[in-house]
Amino acid sequence: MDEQVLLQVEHVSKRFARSLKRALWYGVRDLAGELLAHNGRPAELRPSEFWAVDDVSFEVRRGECLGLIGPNGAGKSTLLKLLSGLIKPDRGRITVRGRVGALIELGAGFNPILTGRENIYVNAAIHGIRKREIDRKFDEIIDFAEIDDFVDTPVQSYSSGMKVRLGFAVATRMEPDVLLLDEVLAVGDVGFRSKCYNRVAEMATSSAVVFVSHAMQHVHRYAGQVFLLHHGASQFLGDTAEGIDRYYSLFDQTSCSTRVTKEGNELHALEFRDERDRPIVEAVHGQPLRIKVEATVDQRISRPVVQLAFLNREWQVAAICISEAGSIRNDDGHVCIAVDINPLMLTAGDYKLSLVVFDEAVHTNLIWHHAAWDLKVTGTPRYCGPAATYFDAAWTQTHRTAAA
Amino acid sequence: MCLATRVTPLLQVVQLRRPVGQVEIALSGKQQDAVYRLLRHPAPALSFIPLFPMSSNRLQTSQTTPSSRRHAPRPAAPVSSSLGQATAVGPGLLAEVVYTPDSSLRRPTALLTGMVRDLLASRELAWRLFVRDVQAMYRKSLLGYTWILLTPVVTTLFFVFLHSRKILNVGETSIPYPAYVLVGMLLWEAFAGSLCAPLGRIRGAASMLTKLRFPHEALILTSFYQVVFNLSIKMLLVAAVFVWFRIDVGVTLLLAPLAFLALIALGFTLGVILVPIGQLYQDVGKTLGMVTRVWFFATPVIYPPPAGWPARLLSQYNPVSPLLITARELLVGEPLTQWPAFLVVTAITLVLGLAGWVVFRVSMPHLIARMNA
Repeated sequence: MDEQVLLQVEHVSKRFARSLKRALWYGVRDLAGELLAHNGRPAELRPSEFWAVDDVSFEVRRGECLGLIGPNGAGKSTLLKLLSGLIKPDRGRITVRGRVGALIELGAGFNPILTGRENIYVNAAIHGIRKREIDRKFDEIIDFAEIDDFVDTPVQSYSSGMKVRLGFAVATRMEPDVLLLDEVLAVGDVGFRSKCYNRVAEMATSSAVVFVSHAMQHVHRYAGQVFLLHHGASQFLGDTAEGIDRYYSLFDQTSCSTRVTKEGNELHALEFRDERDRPIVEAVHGQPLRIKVEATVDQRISRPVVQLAFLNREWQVAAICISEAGSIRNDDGHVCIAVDINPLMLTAGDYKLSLVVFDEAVHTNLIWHHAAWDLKVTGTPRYCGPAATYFDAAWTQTHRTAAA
Repeated sequence: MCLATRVTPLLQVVQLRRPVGQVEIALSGKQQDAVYRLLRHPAPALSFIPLFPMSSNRLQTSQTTPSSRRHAPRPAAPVSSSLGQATAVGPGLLAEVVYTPDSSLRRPTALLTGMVRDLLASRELAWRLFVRDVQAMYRKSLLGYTWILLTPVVTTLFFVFLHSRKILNVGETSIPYPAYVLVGMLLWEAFAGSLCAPLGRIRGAASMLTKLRFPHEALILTSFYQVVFNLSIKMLLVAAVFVWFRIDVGVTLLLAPLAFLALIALGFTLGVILVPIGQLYQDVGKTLGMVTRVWFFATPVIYPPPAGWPARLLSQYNPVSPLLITARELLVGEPLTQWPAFLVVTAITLVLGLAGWVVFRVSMPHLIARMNA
């Protein structure tokens, strides 16, 4: 940990006003204060103001990547603006060492009438890259952006993907000490995205990176630490996996499950059990999991089908199981089943369970409880990516082959 | 290989003002670049090269490898910044910028060095933006650059028509009326263009300003290039008209550009001073449009300076009048009638201009915080 601290944020706050009229008037007052050379007394909130960033502290060293996460409106972009020096903090102190590169707005200053070639130079100048540097790297930029045939075509006839690619290709020619990234990795098609990741990872090795994203798999992959912001205030700073957990738990209170039941149908119970039929709250990866369901189903439906879906924290379906047609009996309206999943292949993490009972004949949902139960799975190394299945692989040391 | 150790001896040599040729051996392109940069700085500044994250910092960032940068010791000694204070660094160290809520006016030295540094740093960007605008301006038009001339020519012809029909009754002008009006129109347009440019530029660049850090001076400089470019093209027309009317110009013609610059400087000064409030409240922009229209008629553009009272006040208490009149007199080689007023206005412009620049600079972060883009 002897790397130099390139970015140091100490108790930084920034206030914004909710009302536009007041915001402008406060703007005038702030200007007046600035011009009267005020001494920067700790700022207090004025009527209709709130802290967009509230007493935030952290530091980033060279070679480190800090994932800045939080719900919409948490203050992430405001914080990035403070870091890049676009706006002043109202409290606290930010120290930046070295050259700052911000990948926030791609293709800034592009003029649609001008050709790709002309725009490259303008865009580069805005990012503070010298013409000489661009002359040298021109072919590299064109190659990276994959716009060979369109270099001398006006940018207005580029597809939106091409514009972004060109913007990215130019902006990443910077050699910054402090790199600020704001949701720019999710641009272009799959092929270009992978190139973006590689290029940013390359830049990140020699700089201090602050990386804003809502895509937790990216945060997990790139960030060594995360900083969780909520309503402008710091919620967590530290281990990536734990930070991501906390990020998701912010939504647990707000997101609600849906329960829809057709008349004459009712779900009585759904329980998680282990292999000895004991109720459990946590399932273990690689062990059996039994789910017991009891429900009342319309007597006229003789062959109900039950579907269970496991949702990950991004609310994507991670795994499903569906009963075979005709395997479930309707005993005068009572359906009692045990679903044995053995072994449970899910990667450790938090899941939500959805249950659907439907009539196969007419494809109507009789009972639909969406994301109604929580299931925690343990037993594999901690992982935050999108993979839902964990293979219990055998890892063996082998000998070098002759060719190698 | 550690580049820093190879560059440092060069720095010492340069500081001692020895010929660089002696040590300029086996340098890579980047290193040559570094030496070139150093030579462009005056020697005393070398040990305190003010570094700005996006401008002059490249000596450290791109000329050194990550391995050599890693062990750079912490810098010290405050020098400059636009928002907070920046710390000067010696060779091989990283620039340090500190952002605090304190007013930047509390560090005047830092503020001034920052201003000079950003002005220098903004030259390339300003030039790029100017080239972009010039290239793009008339690309979607059939008449192209003719448009620069078309507006003043048409307006001039209109006034000439009014004048010839005695609808517009002005006094005797020293040169033929068409030439008189044309010169006046061009000078006025240069002033009015300068006046409105800063606010318009800042408005137009809002999306850039709220997302990227670049020397904001570049926006003003671009507009300046634009105004000078337009005026230069229009001057070709003036030359043609002077030849047509066989107007003799004197040696004073050579001084005329100075008067043009004074006129443009006055426009930019007033324009820049209006930016802080004008960016927050649209009323300023609207008022500006209205005032410019009235101001045009209050300035001896289409009529000679009135001699009688109270009409005389128009040219006496209108700061544009002495500049415009002097510029026109220098151009056609007439005796200067308003040179004391010209000097006074120019001096005030310079002082106000510097003050306006400071105000502009310290207010930008506040304006950006209130911008919607």
